[in-house]
Amino acid sequence: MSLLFYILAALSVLTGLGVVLARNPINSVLSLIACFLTIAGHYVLLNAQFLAVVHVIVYTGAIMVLFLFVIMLMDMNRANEPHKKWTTKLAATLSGCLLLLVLLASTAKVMLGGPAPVLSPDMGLIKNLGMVLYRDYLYPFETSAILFLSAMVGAMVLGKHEPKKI
Amino acid sequence: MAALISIAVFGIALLYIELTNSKKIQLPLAVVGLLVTLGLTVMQWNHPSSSFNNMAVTDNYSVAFNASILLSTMFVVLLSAYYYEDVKQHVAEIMALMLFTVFGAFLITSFSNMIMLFLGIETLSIPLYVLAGSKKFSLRSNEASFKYFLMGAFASAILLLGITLVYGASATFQLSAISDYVNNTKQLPGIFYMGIILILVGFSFKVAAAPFHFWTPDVYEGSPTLITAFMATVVKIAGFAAFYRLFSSAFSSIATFWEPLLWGMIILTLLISNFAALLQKGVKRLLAYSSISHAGFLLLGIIALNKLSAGGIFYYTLAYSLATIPAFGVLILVKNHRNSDDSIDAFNGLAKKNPLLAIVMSVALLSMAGIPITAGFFAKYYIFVAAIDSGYILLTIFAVLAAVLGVFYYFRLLNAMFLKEGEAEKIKIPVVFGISLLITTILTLAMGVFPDYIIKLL
Repeated sequence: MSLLFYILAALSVLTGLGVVLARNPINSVLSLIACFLTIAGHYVLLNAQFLAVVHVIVYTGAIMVLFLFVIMLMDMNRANEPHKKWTTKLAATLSGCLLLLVLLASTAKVMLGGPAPVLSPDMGLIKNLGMVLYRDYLYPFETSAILFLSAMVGAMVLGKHEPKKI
Repeated sequence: MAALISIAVFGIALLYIELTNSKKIQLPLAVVGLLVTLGLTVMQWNHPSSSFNNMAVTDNYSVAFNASILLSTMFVVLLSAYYYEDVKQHVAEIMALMLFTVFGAFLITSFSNMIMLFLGIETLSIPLYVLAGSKKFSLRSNEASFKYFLMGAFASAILLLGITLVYGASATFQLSAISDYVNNTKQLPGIFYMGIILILVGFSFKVAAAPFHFWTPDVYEGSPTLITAFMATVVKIAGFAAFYRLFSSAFSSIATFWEPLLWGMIILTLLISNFAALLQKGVKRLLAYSSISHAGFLLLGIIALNKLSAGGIFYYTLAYSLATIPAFGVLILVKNHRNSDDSIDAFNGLAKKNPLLAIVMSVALLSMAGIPITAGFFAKYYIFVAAIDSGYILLTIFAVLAAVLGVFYYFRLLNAMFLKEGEAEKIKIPVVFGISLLITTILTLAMGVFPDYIIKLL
């Protein structure tokens, strides 16, 4: 089990580096997909099957395909890539450093506090999730249906091609 | 619960009716849906209940606000018969989206759990982003929709972060449990206070109170006029109902912390909106600033936080809606006859050729200004009484001065209608449109003459 974790973790780091270092944006996105798959593997190791499946379907499937589409449509070549201003670079560096600081601080807190207590080994199982979702939180679950329906209807109303002016 | 299901079912039914593409069915179905839901809502009066693990509570407070939301929506839908006369596409969808907005409004008038608050506010907002842009070939409408969407998404995110921080401190979403947590904790953590501030910011955006009001004039002006009327009424009623429910239950014991913030916001809101309204040339923008100033008065009811508050806020929102809908209705008619000119000059000499429209508009404006025998007078009166009762004398004096300032810009419009000369022509009032205008006007006067019946409800 432990060996599997180390292999997965190494793969995650390697593919993560691939995202940042790849010259071609397509390769970058493909590495990101691989990275997400390894993270899904981590979820399985943590006994959170539902999270793993949702992660694969939503992130690796839907969102990454969207990323690929956007990159293909934008046709990013080295030649026409706009030169970034130094303020942009500064802002990017600053926000990156801030994120690193937050991550380091939270990691330090977890490390210093000793291993976190395990709440329940099968907390992430689909059965337990279903109990929470369909019993304790049934009301928000059902009402969000109307939210999504109105969002879809709205997308249709705004996005549909009109033959003539209204 | 039955009312909630009914409004959702009628909304979905309207989507199917779109297939027939016949307006003869669409409008009556929407009205029937609203009436059925109104009946189901009123039946819950004096029958408090809670359902789904106490996540939704139905009490007289929520029933009263829901009924007032339904009434406002119905008057707006009645105006839509004329407004969408020449529009072929998407009319049923627009009405369905209105009903979904009402669904979201229902969720936040009766929430007792922070999750429902967030879900409700999103269900209230997302159809409105679309409705604001429903005049697809108008650049202003597109701008309004986009602006509202971007700003609204940010405000929702801030509200959600606030809810998360409060949850992080208290480990519960339930309002009563948060209240218990506040009462039983000696030293509240900093993130709890931060959470309250962020929730306050999110709410003041949704109800358009300064300094988070910047989106209001542009969005109100750019949106189709009918949608503006809908936005100005339903969102405000539901927003304030939820605002007061949250701050009077969960955060009432630490009022000393958030009341100074609210105090500053009220002063800012009343100051900015009334002075900006004085400078406006367009009637739609003027009404937008007037809506911001009403938010300022309504916040007085929340800061007062005593037993008069709920009734005062309810009376004020109802009076404000019954004045806003006919005002926008008359604006729609005048604008259509003046080639979409909505400046104050377009109203010149309206009274001579169209006395009925001028009277309807005058009653609405007088009610907004707070002149006696209209509902607006008692609306302001009850709010002020509530504020004085809690010791906010200085703030109330300031608000009275702001109300006096408000009279100026409302009278500019009255002056244009009655005293100025203009080449006004006779405007034909469509029947359903006229019914909506007349009922709202009569209700405004009736509420001004018999205020007791409404104020005693809560």
